[in-house]
Amino acid sequence: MKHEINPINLSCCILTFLLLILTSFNNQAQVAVKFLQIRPAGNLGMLFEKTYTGEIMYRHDFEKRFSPRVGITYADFSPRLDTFPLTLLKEEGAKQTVIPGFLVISTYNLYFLFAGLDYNLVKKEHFFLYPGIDFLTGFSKLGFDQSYETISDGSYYSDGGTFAGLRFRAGAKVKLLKYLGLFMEATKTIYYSDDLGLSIHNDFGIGLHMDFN
Amino acid sequence: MKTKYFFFCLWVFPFLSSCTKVEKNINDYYPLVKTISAIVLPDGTVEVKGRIISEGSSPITHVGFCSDTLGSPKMLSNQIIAKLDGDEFSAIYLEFNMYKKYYFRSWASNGNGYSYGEIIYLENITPINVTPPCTLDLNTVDMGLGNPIQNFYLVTSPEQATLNWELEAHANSCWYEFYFGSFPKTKIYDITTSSSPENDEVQVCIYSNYFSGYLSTGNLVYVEQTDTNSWVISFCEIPWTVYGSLFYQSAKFTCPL
Repeated sequence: MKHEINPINLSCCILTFLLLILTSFNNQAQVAVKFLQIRPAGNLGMLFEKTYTGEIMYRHDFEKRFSPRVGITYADFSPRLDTFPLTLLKEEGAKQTVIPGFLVISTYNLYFLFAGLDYNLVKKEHFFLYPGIDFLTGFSKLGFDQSYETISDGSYYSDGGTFAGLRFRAGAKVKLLKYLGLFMEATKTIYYSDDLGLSIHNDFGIGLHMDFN
Repeated sequence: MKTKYFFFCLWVFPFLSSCTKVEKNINDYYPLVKTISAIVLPDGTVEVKGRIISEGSSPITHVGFCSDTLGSPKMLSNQIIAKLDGDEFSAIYLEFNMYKKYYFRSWASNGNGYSYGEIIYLENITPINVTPPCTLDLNTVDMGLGNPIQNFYLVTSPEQATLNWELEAHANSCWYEFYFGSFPKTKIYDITTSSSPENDEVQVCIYSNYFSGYLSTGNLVYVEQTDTNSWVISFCEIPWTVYGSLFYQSAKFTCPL
């Protein structure tokens, strides 16, 4: 099923979403950027290499132990093999034949928004240890070529789809300066997409949290 | 405080693990299979054996072999799907041209894909022993009637008919018609009275001035292919009944003559 995405509608949705979240905070504007390594796991782990990307987010400082955040991420994945070997069992009456085939993945990337909350476990002024959870949603694009000998000449698939999921996080943050903090986080993302069904990836990242107020 | 750290660790552990292990080496997802041997059996067939060294990250779905006269047989080339017996599997290939080189290769598939084993080749594939049990001079026939041994003066080359390959061998007072189920090659053929012999069978008709009939089942014809289009064909002490009396006939001849 092809998904038609109107860029104008998409932009409005993103801006509305961000404004809604931001206006729910007080007027403290705090931005964080994170550089992370994404490690595909589960079924994705066989198909895709680790990749590196960045996140940008509005992240509120811990107030009464809670710290909300909202942000965006883009990730582009490379396949682990140029060609993945496949097989198909063909049955004609009593005769069985194992048909070899191949899968070539040309594109897989994700664009997603996330919004969530962290909970601080320690009562320190400059050190924070926290678990957190995000809800995320976004768009994926997948392109591949798949064929089986003697059965098909090859079929190229390229489509985009939506996905949604949850992200579980464990992190630690150190406040270096009054307006600057350094944080490290480990995350497990579980999401369901139209293209690949249930998918999992883990990521490890390091970031800077800047308070412009 | 300690309770909070404990719950933090509890939160960290499960989501840092993954239900499915990601293999560092992509090849570990696929089976590791070895082609152990390819051996010519006494009847001229070839038995190939393979072994699963590792299933990969998913259970084995199918194992088998492929064969070709080209150097790198692909899975669909004369594919045989075999049955796993423990971690080993085997198959038998039939019908070879002794003047060609044959390559054999094992393969295995699991839920992720497939992989090949090593390639083994064989050439000059012939049955080990097709020596007939009797000794007769070449191009002679002993009909066992008490008459002198006769010479063959004409033997035709095999010609393909609808259901078989035919050749004739003519001596002075008799001639034979051979109907092979397949193109003749070095092999021991079972005699049949069926007009549609199988690949390893031959029907032999005998004609003379006074009688005709078939050589009976349960007997053998020995064929040795000496060149692409030449053979030595023999049979030994085959019983046949003429007017109620039992005789034994033997023959050995080159084809064509």
